[in-house]
Amino acid sequence: MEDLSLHILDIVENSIKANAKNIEIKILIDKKNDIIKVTIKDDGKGMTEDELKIAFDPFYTSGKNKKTGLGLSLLRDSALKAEGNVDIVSEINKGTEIQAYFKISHPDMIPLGDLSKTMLVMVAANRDKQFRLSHIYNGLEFNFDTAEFKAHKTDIVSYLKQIKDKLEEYKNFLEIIKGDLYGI
Amino acid sequence: MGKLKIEDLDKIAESARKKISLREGAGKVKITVHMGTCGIAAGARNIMATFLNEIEMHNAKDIIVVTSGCAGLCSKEPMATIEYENQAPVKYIELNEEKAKKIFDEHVLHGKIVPEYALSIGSERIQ
Ligand SMILES: Nc1ncnc2c1ncn2[C@@H]1O[C@H](COP(=O)(O)OP(=O)(O)O)[C@@H](O)[C@H]1O
Ligand code: FES
Ligand SMILES: [Mg+2]
Repeated sequence: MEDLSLHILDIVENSIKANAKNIEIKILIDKKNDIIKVTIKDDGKGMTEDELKIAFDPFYTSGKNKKTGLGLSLLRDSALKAEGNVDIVSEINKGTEIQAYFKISHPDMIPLGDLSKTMLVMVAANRDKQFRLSHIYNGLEFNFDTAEFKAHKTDIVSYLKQIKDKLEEYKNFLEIIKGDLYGI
Repeated sequence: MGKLKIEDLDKIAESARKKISLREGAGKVKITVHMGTCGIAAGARNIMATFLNEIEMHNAKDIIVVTSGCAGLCSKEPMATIEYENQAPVKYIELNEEKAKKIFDEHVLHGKIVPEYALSIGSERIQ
């Protein structure tokens, strides 16, 4: 996967497949300690202990009509390359929490990518789910919560408009981060 | 049961109309973008973003957009499936933004299939 925003989209798809209703994404960037931590937490069906043991295996998937399950394994590859790793905590019928961390300054650290586009696509295509994002960068914080949007009371066009307005703020937030992180 | 009267026919027609508009309220066309790992790596996110832009531009309120997992056809990603009213679902393969726009303009808005981008036309199940 090319960047962090695509990994996030892919990991959130797992939560959706697991019938989660609430999905919480936390992105914590701590420049001083040189670490990016991404947490994706859902209230989906969870994994058994046996499943958990092989979750990173690229040849394990619970999906039908396919033989590989690459998502988690690719995420871990990206993390390991940047001196990080991925932890999974999961409980059957309770939910799953995936935490990936990376060393920011590592030359093999993948870029953040278009996080705002990832939010747009996953929120718009899953109107029956609640999404929460909290993105923290040093002292700054951006929060996004679909509970504000009343998805059931609006049509797709006005829903899109609400999401996009909110994501404009996120884009500005991301510009500041990128400028500060990479000096662009 | 007695003979059907004209008023009864009107009632039946009216209730059929109601059913149709109910269905329209729920969405006349369904767009499914395949968001398996391969799909995402091949650019599915931009395909979805393109459809969303088109929906906004055309103020197309009666469209449902969803994602689905892997379709088991890595090499044909990005893929999308269009279900237009009573037509059988059509799976489109190897998409890019241009193709997605054309599919939106012709198939999603007007029910005209774009055969050159389609994998197969049939009632196969989509995951
Ligand atoms: N959030 C989750 N909730 C429940 N099960 C999960 C979750 N994430 C991953 N899994 C399980 O781990 C398997 C492997 O995941 P992944 O590596 O992303 O491959 P894939 O999604 O293609 O199967 C999934 O098939 C699923 O059984
Ligand atoms: S993940 Fe490769 S075809 Fe679905
Ligand atoms: Mg996956």
